[in-house]
Amino acid sequence: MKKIFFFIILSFYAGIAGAAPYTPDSGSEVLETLPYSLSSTSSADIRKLQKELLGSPEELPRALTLAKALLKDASTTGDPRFYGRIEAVLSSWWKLKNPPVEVRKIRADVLQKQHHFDEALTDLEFLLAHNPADVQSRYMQASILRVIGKYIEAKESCQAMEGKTGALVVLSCHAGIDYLMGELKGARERLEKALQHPGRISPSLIGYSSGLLGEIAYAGGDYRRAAEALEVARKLSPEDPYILSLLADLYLQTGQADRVLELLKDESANDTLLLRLALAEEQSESTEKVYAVQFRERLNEARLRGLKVHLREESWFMLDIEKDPNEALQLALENWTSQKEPLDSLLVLRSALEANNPAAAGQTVEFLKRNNTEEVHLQKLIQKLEGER
Amino acid sequence: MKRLKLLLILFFTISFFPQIASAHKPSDSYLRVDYKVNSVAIHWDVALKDLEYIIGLDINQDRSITWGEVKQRRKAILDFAASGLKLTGKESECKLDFSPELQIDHHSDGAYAVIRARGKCAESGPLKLHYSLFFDSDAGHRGIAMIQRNGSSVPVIFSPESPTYTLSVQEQDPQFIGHFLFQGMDHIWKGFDHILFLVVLLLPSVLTAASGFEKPVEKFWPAFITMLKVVTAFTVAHCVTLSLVAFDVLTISPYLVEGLVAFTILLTAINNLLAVIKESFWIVCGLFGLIHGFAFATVLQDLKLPLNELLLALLGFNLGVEAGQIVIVAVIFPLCFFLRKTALYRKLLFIGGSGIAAAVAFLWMLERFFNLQLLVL
Repeated sequence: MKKIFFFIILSFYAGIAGAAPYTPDSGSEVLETLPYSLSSTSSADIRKLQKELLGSPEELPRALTLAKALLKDASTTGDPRFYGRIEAVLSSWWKLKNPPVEVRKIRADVLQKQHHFDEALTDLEFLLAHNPADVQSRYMQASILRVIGKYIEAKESCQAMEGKTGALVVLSCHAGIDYLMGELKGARERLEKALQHPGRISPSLIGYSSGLLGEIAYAGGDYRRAAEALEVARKLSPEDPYILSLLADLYLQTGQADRVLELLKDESANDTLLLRLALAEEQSESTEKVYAVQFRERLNEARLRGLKVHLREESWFMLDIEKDPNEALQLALENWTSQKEPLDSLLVLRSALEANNPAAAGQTVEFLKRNNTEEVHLQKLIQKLEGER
Repeated sequence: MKRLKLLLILFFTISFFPQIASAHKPSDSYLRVDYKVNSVAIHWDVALKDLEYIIGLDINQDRSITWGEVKQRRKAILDFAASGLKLTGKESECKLDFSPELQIDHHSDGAYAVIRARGKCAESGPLKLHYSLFFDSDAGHRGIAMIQRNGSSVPVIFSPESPTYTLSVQEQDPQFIGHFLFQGMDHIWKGFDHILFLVVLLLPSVLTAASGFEKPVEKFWPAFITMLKVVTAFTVAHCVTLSLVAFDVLTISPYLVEGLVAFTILLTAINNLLAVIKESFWIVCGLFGLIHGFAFATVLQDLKLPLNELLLALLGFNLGVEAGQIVIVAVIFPLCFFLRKTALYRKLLFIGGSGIAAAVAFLWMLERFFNLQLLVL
């Protein structure tokens, strides 16, 4: 306990201090680059709306216009600042038990992005009871249920979309869950087949489904097919951080650290990708550890406000960079109570092995076995763990 | 076509991957608040991205914020910052003076404007810091502060749910009096001229006054007690002037005081050599103490303490001065006593030491009265 307190105080010093204040030499020095926004609303318009709203905070249509513009920027940048801004814009309704439908829709999205999965699911249930044909809410529900490991319920959500949206959307929804439940081969084949003759489907959907195909091929240990599918996905949505992280993980797994450093060199603003850069740096045994330093600093600043959404990244960082498997195991287990994706399970198994504490992974192993996991990396770790026991 | 449009909308707005959401850190500002009884010094880092959202920094709308743009928006930044931070006393708001100069610093998620402010409250009682920056525009914003006082630090997080922090100094606070006690001792030990003055006072204390400082004293304790009397007279006297200045009854130019302090050292050293005043030197010493008291006074005057706290601070400070002096006496007096019968002491330490002290004090006096640089010290 004392140690934790000491750490908090220390990290407060480290975090609050910043680097060192300075006065830039030239007026043309660029201090900050703002992300391009996909929303048609310019930042000046957003500011105008924002000001008007402060005068009449309970005017719903204006608040919704602003909130939707902010939500678009949130999705394209991934910057959680926008969630706080959206909540402030909708503050008159945000804490209501029964807010207007439009507000609830936005609230559910923000809540799931902040990892408040249970609250998000409650909102989605209300929305779907109100309008069962709401495909957007249904897909979000399936995604959350998949992340928290409730595969049967997630499949039901996919099923409920049948006939209400395009076939590839429903197929991808099912495939993303099937491959985690002992149907890896079938899921992959169905997806391959659908992608061979996609018909008139938006490039972004093809990009998404190709990314999923890459994820499934990687889970099956077919790195060549995974690389192909992920490259297709990247061409169609070059900025998508999820595709980039999958590619980076593939390169790290196959010992191509240099490619990770090249692929992500402009992406260090994103924590998940910054972690991959730090891991690549570690793997390439370069003497300079700039990304690790940067990541550590960001962790410290996130801890100052008691933020806990970085548990997965923190655990991985502790395991492979700080070489502290005990700490990594604690973080991985805490993370696993809320999310159970393959990567979350992988971190529990790996850190339990390295910390010589195979029993700690018992629940995770049981969960994976119950779902007949075919993820090859997880399977190997389970064998090792059972050999040690 | 309609379906395609629906899919496009669907895939642009929904997130299939809830897990990758919080890829960055939400909005924070960082404060360092140095707190001294009734004044605060604030060092505050506010993210340019957050300022852009509310007041707009990207004047030419090229999606990048330059130092030139920040400078152009300086007034807007400072006005906005001032609206988000308030310092209050028991009854009224205290003035926060924001430095007109901005600087830049970097945190893990980008560039921040560095804002500095000072605040002072006239009244006594606990001060409160109210933080509300960005709270009406960003529900996730936090003000992360390190409140520092007397070398100890408390981490504080300002949020819409808890926007206020009380900077409390109770008069019973043992730290409060301790702080000034320490300051008193520190002033004795760090001020070279006070140490010199004490040494000059100490040198004749192991020689009998009746003999004109020619013969050594016989017994330790009577001589030691006499010495303590002299030192205490000094403390009591400077306590008087210190209080007069602290309560704004008297003011005197610091140049004059510093010069006069040197003059008292000179007179004392000369008296050692010529033995003009032999008995009751403590009276003279008390007079000198009045002068030295002025030199300490600026320390407390600058703090502008409320009355009840000032009394306590004075007590602590004077006790500290006394304690600091007793420590020096307790170290040097036994040494002098041990050596008092030797020729080394009488000729070299007493006459030589007093002579050197007189010379140094004389030069100091010239320096201070005429604003010259003669000595390294």
